[in-house]
Amino acid sequence: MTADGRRSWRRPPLIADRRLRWLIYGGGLIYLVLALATLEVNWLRAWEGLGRGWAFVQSFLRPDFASRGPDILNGIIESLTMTVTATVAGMLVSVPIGIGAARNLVARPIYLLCRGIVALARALPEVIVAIFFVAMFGFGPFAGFLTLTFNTIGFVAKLLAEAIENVEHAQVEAIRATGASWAQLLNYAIQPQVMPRLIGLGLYRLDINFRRSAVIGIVGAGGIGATLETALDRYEYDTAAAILLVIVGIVTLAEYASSHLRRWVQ
Amino acid sequence: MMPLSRPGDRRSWRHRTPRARLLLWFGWLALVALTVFAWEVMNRDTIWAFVADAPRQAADIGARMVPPRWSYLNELVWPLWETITIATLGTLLAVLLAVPIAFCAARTDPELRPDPPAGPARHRRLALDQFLDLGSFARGGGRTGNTRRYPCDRAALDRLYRQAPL
Repeated sequence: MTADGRRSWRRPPLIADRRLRWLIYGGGLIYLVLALATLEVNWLRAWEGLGRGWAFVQSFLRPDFASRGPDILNGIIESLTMTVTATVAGMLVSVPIGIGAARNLVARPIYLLCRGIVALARALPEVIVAIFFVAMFGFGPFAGFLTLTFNTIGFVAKLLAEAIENVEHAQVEAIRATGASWAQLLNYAIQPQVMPRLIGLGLYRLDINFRRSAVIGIVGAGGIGATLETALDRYEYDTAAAILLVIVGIVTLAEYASSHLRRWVQ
Repeated sequence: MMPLSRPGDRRSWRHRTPRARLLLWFGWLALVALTVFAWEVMNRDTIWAFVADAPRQAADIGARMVPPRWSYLNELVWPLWETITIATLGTLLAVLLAVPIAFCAARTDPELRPDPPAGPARHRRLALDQFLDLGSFARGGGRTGNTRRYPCDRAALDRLYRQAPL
């Protein structure tokens, strides 16, 4: 472009075709207008909500750990035990499924079967799974444990399969050249390469599972979520604030601990 | 670590020193002990009769779900539109809010050093899950979902954007 005799550069557009570009922009704009127009906002209700929100914020300044202290403690213990057992069980089940879902290691039918399991475990949100398990196994942490285990499988198996598919091929070839069996190949060529990643995934999942245990408790699958739901239903915002602060504290601690552990392991 | 040992007259390679192997063994033992303990504590109040009855319950639920009632699809159109709207507007709002926070929380550029409150604020948002946020806002309606959506997206986006190479 030339302006005042000087040449200047203009960034090329993302979509080269001018008509297509304006068509996409126009379509996006129409969609946004429609989306905003169909959003049923009750402004009066929203205004009332501000007051409640402020009450909630104020309660954070004076959280009540004492009134429901034993309930909070039991909820936290339940959540932590669910988290530990579900992470361990989920990791144990994920390893064979993750190996089966790696294209470079197994036959196609096994690959497709394991990928199907991974897809199913990832497709269902934990709240839906928790509702199913509560209906099947009754209220309590056992249903929560199964829910977290199920979701751990989808998460870890997928990432493990991807890690296996991306291993250094030279090491695999070297072990293969020695006449190693499939199990030996797995043990000497694959496992050393993916183990740090697997441990890292386990620690990360532990952190996620704790947060999720608070969520699934709301639908009756045990843990601190049930205590939190009760506190919110009773408008005991000071107790709810105490629970949230405990959750925030534990999650922050877990995040720092797991990042340090991951660095140490890797 | 690659120490060489000589059992008999043959040289063999070990990945870890004896001390490291012992530490690793105790690590695994501690993990097993912790898991068993957690399992015991978790299942103190589990009613095993319900657990034993689970296959029958699952079969009952499965039988009721098959075949799916396709006639119900008409009633799903509006909730589906609402879901897409919540997801889109929530993501848009999250992106708008995440970008400036991410710039403040990035360490790459000395000009963009994080303000003291940026770090803890990020952790607070990451720690609270969507459902927990939902509880603190007014219930019902599309706006609730939208309001609930953005804080967690914002935390996730902050984190991703902050860690991206600038």
